[in-house]
Amino acid sequence: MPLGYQRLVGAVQEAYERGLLGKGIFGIDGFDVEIDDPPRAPAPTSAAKRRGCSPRWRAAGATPSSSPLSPAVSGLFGCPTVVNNVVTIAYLPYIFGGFGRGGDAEAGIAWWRSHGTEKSPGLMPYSISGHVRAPGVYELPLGTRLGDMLELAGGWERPWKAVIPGGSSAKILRLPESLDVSMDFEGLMQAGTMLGSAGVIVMDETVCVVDALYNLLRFYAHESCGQCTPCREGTGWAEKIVARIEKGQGRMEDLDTLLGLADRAIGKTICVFAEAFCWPIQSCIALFREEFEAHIRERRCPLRAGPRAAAGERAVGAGAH
Amino acid sequence: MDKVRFRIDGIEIEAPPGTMVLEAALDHGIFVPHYCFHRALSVAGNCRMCMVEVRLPGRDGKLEPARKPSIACATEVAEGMEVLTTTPLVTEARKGVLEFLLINHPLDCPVCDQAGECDLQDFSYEFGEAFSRFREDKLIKHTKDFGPEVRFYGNRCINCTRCVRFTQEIAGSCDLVQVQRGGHNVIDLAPGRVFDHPLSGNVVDICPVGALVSRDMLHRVRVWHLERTPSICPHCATGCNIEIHTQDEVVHRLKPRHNPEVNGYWMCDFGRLGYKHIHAPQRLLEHRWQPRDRAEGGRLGFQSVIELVAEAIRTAGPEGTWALASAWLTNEELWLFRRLFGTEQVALIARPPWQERRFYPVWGDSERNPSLPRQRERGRLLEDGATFMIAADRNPNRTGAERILGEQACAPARLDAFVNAALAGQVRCAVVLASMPDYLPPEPLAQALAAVPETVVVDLADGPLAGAATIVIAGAAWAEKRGTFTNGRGRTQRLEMARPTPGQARTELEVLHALGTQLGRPMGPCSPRRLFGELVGEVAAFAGLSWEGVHHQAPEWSPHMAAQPRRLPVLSPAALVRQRGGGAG
Amino acid sequence: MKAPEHPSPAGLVGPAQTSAAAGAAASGAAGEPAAHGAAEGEPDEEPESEPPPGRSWVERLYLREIASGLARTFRHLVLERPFTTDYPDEQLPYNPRARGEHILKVDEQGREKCVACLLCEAACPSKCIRIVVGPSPWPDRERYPVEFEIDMLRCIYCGYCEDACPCDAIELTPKPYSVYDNREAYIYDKEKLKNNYPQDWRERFSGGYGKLTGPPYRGEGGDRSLIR
Repeated sequence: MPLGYQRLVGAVQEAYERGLLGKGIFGIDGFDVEIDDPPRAPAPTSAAKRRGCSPRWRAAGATPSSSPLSPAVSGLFGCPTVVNNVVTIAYLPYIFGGFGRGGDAEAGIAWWRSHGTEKSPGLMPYSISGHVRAPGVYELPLGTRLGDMLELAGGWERPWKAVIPGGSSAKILRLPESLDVSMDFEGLMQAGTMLGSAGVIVMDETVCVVDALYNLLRFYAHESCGQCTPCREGTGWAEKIVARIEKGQGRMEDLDTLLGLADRAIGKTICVFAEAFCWPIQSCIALFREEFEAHIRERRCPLRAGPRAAAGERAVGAGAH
Repeated sequence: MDKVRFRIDGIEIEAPPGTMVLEAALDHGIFVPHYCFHRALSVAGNCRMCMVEVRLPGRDGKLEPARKPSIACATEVAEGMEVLTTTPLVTEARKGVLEFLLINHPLDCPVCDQAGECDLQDFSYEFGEAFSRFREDKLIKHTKDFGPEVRFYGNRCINCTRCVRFTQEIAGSCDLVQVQRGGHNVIDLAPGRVFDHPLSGNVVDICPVGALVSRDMLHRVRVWHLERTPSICPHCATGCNIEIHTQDEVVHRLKPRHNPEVNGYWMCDFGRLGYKHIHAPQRLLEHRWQPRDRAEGGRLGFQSVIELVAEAIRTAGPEGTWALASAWLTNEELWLFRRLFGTEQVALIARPPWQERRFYPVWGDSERNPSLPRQRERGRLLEDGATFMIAADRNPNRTGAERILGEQACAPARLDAFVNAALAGQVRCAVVLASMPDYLPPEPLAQALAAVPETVVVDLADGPLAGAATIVIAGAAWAEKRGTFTNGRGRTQRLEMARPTPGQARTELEVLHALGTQLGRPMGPCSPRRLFGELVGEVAAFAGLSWEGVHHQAPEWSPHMAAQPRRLPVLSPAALVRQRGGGAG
Repeated sequence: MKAPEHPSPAGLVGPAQTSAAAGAAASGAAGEPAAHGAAEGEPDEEPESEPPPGRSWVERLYLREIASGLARTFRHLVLERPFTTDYPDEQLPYNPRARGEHILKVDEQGREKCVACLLCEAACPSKCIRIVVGPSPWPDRERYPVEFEIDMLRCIYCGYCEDACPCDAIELTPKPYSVYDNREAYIYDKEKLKNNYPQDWRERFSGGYGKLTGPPYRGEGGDRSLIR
């Protein structure tokens, strides 16, 4: 049983024991809050969110279904449904409950607003991984400059090459060109990518972008639930093409094929998994096309004998989604 | 209820709220290609083939162009909506989906039984591209026999999950599941199960590609050779509407024909495989005279055998003659039978009800299947009359016989009366029109028939019945005659001749007509249509019916296409040139 | 007749006139009626055409042309070998791409390549192919032709079956015909189709399509074949 699942079940159990969950909690008759067992089926990454609204959610496998237009009105079983990330729920007591501020909700809101930018106030746990000296989760105000964030995480001895700012499906950014980007929703949107899950993956110059993309696509090919045609077939196809390029057996037309299949997959599936695996393809080829072409031209990975061999390290790939 | 007004490709359409765009489009003759959608099953929305461009009116009432296509099968119609099925956005989306579907498809159409009626072929031809950019190794998936009737080719599967939803929602057995994920997604048997459900053959029909194929017809014929004759399944009182598929007068398979009031899109495997007796080696191909007391006898021509029968009937006289009709005769034959033999010294023979009780959807059985409640929990069981159910009565026309010959004549008591009279030596001649497959006469009846001096049997195959006869006439199987059956719920439906009678065999109508003429009765022209007209005039239960009206002619044979207007690919020369440019996919 | 003046060397009447006409046609844009220049192509227009000018009556006897023509005739008669062949003692080979009788190809292990898809049967315009499909006895394929018959009397040698075949299993060889004294013999079964193209035929066309590299076929009547 996964550790996360154990902790979740343990927390639920604890809440039941303390009387925070169950029938008639807080002594109010009829105030029943039950938490069902979290589904045990291994849910593909993106499935969980949408799946919560599926009427078949217990019967069917862990696959996303077409989400209702407004789940808050009519969602699971036709009832109002609220689906939220854990981060959101975890911050709620601090903001609206005045948690840690003597129960003063106004103070909580003001405290929340004192961080971040005007449009994106508040804090965000950034999970910084890859080529920094101190990778980890950093709770920082939204709108922090990327360069500052990476310095905070310890910096790195070699120059950086690229960063994926919002989880593996966010579009990649070139470094050091993008060090000034503001790490909030608007700033990253402006830079052509997204904040997503705020999983920041940093890569230095020893990282082969093709290899990194292959790593991502292998992850996506494994994670696709296999329901919708474009994603089921597209993830595996893209993985195979990029693997071939990385092995030095690519052809120039493969890049067009990759972009073409990304075009054909984006927006054609139930959930956004197609976008998730296509955006890295599109952005990697757009920003690092010369590296792909070098692979194809030289019929090998140019970095294998180059800086990476010197650094003696493998590329960092997919991190948190 | 208010109707929603919207437009599809510029055509004004009204539909009740909650209708999906795809259904509305198909209802109005606009074909949208689709794989996973089936009218009888829940919406899955996973094949992504039915994508259309949906424009909704914005705040200002103007239509806003769609940024991405929507799937028509899961988009509810909305007031003022504009649906476009031929825009570049849609055609490109279809091309994309077909390219994705074909990358791991083995393209083994030449050896695939579905070739010729395959949606993947048709849609690739009409909406896809003639080339593929896929240069990698294809994924290999398993091929296995799911059950006695169904074989699964995983490589051809497009994961539409129609079969999975069928076993969950219609059959209720949940035998099939989708296992693995991503590109390795594949249909498999649920652990520990064998797909031997009596409705298992239907998954072959609903499979839009060649992934699920019939083991019965495996590699036997190519579908483009098959001629299709609409008819009625005779194997139980449900009277499923079917199509008889023949090639060179050989029946190769039976397929359900959509009739929402009788069988929906389905038929059971007993009926589906119930054509074998037509080509059985025991089939009677010539008429025979095998007198009990004399050594001579032998094969006879039709006229001679009729003369012989007429002579026997004349000799026996009206008091000494009994006639037995089977519940497999058509209404027209029964009507002629009644004109010839009356309703007094006649009785009805029929096959006994189902002995096997492991299958669940049975209606009309006094002792309901004991396993029913358990299975009702497992699957969605539709209300009686709306769902697909097998009738306990294994005869197609008992109701018709009761209506024409009268309840009394069809009661078991009358058959007992015949048996008693025969054993008492009061019956000089018995005429048995059986033409039932797999009929074993009960012991008393067999003894009685053997005791009658002249027993005339019209039957399909050499069996105990023909063995007890002195005169054997080769009869016609249900697929070899025209006429009507009245099913257990009183619905009269027409069956059509799919093949001629083999050898010397004659239809019962011909036999009765020739016999009547030989006996000097005024017979008149005896086409089934004319006899049905008489029936409508003379028998109250048939009043108001018409020969044309009892024929439910579904436009398409295929259950997943039935009642869905379909624009078939047009072979334009340009398309041919395009297709020849390279193998599709 | 307003044929343009043109010095025409004797013995080259035809070609010279043609080239003159072509020249006139080419320069006809200047106003000269070009149609008159095309005299050779339109004999009906000028039935009583005058002989080309610039020739003497001696030239117009054409003795020299007659002599050269006869010389060629006699040279062929005496020196060259005949162009005809003594069929059927000797036979000309057909073009390797000629469509003759079929062969059913086999793989290295002698198994039919045919998978009995019946596409040839579907493509056949004369409906001369009959195949009975059966489950294959080999593990690497599912179906094979239990029976495969072609009625060579009905076949029109169109080659559609070859086109339709997805497995490259049926091929039309240049073998042009076979002669039998009964009709049944023309219905070729599977074994006959597999061996329909004997080795000595095959060797003649071993170079593949479009190339005739084998030795000339010499009939039993001798080596007088013209094909070298």
